[in-house]
Amino acid sequence: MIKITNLTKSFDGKVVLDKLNCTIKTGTIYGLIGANGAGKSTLMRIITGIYQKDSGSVEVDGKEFLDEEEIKQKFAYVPDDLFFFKNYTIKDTLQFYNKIYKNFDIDYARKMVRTLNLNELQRIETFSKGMKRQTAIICALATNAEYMFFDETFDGIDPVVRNFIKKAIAEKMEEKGCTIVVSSHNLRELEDICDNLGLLYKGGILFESEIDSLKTNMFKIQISLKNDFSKDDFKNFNVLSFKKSGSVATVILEGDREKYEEELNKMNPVILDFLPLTLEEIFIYQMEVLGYEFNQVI
Amino acid sequence: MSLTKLFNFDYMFENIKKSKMQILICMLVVPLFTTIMLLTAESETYNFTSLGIFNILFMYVIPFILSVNLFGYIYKKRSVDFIGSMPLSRKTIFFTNTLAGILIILGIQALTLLCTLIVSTFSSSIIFAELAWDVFVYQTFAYIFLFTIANLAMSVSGNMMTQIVGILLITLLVPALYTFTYFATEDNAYTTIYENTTISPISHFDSFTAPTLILSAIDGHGYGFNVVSMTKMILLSVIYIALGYLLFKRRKMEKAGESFVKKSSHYLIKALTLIPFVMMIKAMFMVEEFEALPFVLGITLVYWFVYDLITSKKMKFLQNSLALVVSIVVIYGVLSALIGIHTSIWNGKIKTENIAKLELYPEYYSSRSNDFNEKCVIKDAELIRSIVENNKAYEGVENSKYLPTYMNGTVFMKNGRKYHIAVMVDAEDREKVLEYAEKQIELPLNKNVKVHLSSQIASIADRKELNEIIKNLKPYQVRENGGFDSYFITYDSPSSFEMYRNGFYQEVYAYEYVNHKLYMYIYSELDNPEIGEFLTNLYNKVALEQVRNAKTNEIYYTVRDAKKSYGTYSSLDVKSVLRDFILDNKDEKVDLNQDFIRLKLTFRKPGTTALTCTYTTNKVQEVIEKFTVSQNEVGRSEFEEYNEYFDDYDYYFEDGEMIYEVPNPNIKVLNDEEINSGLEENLDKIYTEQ
Repeated sequence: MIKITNLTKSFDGKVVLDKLNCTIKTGTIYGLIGANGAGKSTLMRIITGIYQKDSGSVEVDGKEFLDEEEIKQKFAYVPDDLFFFKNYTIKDTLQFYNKIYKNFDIDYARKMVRTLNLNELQRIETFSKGMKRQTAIICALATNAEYMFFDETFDGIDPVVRNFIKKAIAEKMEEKGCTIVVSSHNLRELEDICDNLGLLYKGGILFESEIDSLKTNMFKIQISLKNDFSKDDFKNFNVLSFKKSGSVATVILEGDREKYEEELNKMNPVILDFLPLTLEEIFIYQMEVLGYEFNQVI
Repeated sequence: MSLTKLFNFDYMFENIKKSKMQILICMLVVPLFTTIMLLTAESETYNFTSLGIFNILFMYVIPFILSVNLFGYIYKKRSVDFIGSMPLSRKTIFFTNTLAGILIILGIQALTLLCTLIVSTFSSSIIFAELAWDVFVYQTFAYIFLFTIANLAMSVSGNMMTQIVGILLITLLVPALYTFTYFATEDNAYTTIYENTTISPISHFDSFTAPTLILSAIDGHGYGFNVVSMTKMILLSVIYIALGYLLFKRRKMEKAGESFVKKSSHYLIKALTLIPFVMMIKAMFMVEEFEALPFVLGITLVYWFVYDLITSKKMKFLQNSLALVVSIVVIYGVLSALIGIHTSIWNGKIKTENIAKLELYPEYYSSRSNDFNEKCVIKDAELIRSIVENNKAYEGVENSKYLPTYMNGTVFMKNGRKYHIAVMVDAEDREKVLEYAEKQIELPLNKNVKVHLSSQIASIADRKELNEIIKNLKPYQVRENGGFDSYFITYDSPSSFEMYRNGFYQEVYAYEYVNHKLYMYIYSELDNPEIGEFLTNLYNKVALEQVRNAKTNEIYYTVRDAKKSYGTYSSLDVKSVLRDFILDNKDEKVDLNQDFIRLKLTFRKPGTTALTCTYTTNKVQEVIEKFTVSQNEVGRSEFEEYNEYFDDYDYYFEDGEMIYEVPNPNIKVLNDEEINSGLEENLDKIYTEQ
């Protein structure tokens, strides 16, 4: 588990992370969402030891992280801006990682390279952006690190490969029990892979929750009653949003779904449909509750 | 702390591998260059200055390239995420890269040493394994020193341009300040006892680190195996490594690619780089020459603003101008204070009774054939008093009967202070000094000598044989060459030929390594007939071989007797006569106890180095008869006479005027009028008087 407490970092007097608190549980895929410049990359760089914090603490498995190699062995980081040694091929790069990381699985890496049709002997600098990213992801996954960080990782990768990689990440997590942290400014990217989400805004985690819990507790209904009705008729429910168009209202509710379904049926609705909520919709309504405009935050 | 935590050899290997081409070039350039130099510049002595100007170039450039390749990518914006996220602590990264650089430097120097030793097995160059080892040790520390400076500069600046500025500042600023203060103080220092003596504070130039030592070697200061300099470099390297690590550990990686993390560093660096400009301004005020002042101020102003444009891409005119004025005033004040402090230390009154000893260097002015180049240490109080009092008496050279002689040296006071001096001594005192010195001199001969003969002349076996002969002989001249005073060894010509009886006398140079110094001995056939016999046979063999293979027009020769040089002949007829004569007499056994005549031959084939040797024969009359006609035809040119005149007498310049140093008081000094009135007549007169 990574526990971040009161983490502060500023660049040239501008505070980027302001007493940030966050907990990344072991064995989860943690999605870090936030607008560009929110501090996602900075947070990842501080956790992995690239940047030094101004104040606060980063605890890894209960131990304060202070640039120790033993702890760094637990990390693998795929940055947004990739770097490979000049003139290095995939083969050279895999050999490099194999020497540096104690648990590097070179066979796994080679298998992935073959599966993704990458040429092991080609110089990486001649690769497309997407191929370079695939190479970096393969290297990171093959480290078998306990904590893997992917910063805007799915940018520039075509949908087929993206799905393959998401699957590979999930498999790796399942197989090794590792923890994955993925950052993105696009909620849709994280929706189908993450099981925890943290929303970074103005240097702090504005909102943090398990996705399953969010999806289970929040739902959308379309309802029509025999008589005319208004929001006041739903006083017994936790209504996050109420929009009526004609005789049909679209309502977002938060609470125990089974209990709510029972209560709603008692109202003898003409129409009652439970509709799935996208993660984006969940966030929009959550933000509204917190008093933020979704577009401001992401 | 375990070494495994400090160094990661897998990372080291990969870090070197990623820049293998650049590092390979660095590894090979010095050994290759040295090897080529030793193979092509035949008959050179291998020493600290063998690489000439490339020595200082490589010393700066190679550690810099190593630093950029091993450390540089860590400071780049694009790669900082990559290296920062690797399971390597900053400590491991820094010390592993530092060790890698040191190992590469060791490799470079070891390879150079190996190549040198291999070349020494077959080359005619004078290569002492001990001296090659000295070079290896000193150069290794020098390169490591520069490498640690480059890393420190990188840790501070984080970008290549400012790294270069940093390296130059760290290596040269303190020596430059010292040198400036020294020379400024030299003008201000005075003494009352030596009215006509130049005196200056003793310099510590010899204890500078390698870069400054090499640079000052251009100006004639020594550069060789220097324990003080080496110790200083080792200590400073350790300090720079520690400092570099601390800065690297604390460095904010988000500032990757930016020069200097703190803006205040820029002000400091900019002010430090201003010091040379202010030195020029200060020097102008000291000598009261202000003609170039506007130019220097203009250059300073331009530099000041260009620095800002390059580093911050901004230009605040008023603010910067004010900062410039303040900086100049502050630096000017500091320089003045330094000179003041230095002057107050060195100014003083020297009393004869407080002199502990004198060290004088009489060699340049000695008329003795048994010349030497050793310093003469005088502890004899009576002799010291005599020199001091006589020196005081010579208030003007124009009043003296004979020109007094200057002797450079050092005066050691009883309180431990030392001064450089130049005293004037008369002929009597000079004789006393020389006699005194001769008693003291212990020639550092241990007979491990190597003769200096071109491979065009002598084979390895010939040189070995001559080495064996020389071991039992006494040289007539010894010169200490340990300081390696110039970039290129002065005494590198092949065996020289001087006038001797009917021709030239032959001598051979040999070198010996003693206690980190190289001594050069000159063995002459005048003192050692064995040398004459060996060289005569060797040169005659070479002459015969060359005559057989050379075309007639490729042969040049000189016939010279005790008074006259008959010049170099160009007539093909005469050359044919010479060729035939040598071929006809190929079986002659020359007996040097009998009359002989010697010719100096030069064979100059197109595209090859000219080969010079002598040809000796006992058939004196035959040679004279064969060549008399041609000699009369060609005669001597005035130019040759003029050159010959100056060849035989020392001269020096004073206030732009040439002064002839005539060691023998019986020889009259010629003035310009006398010289111009008829060279031939005057020369004959001189010879007659002799």
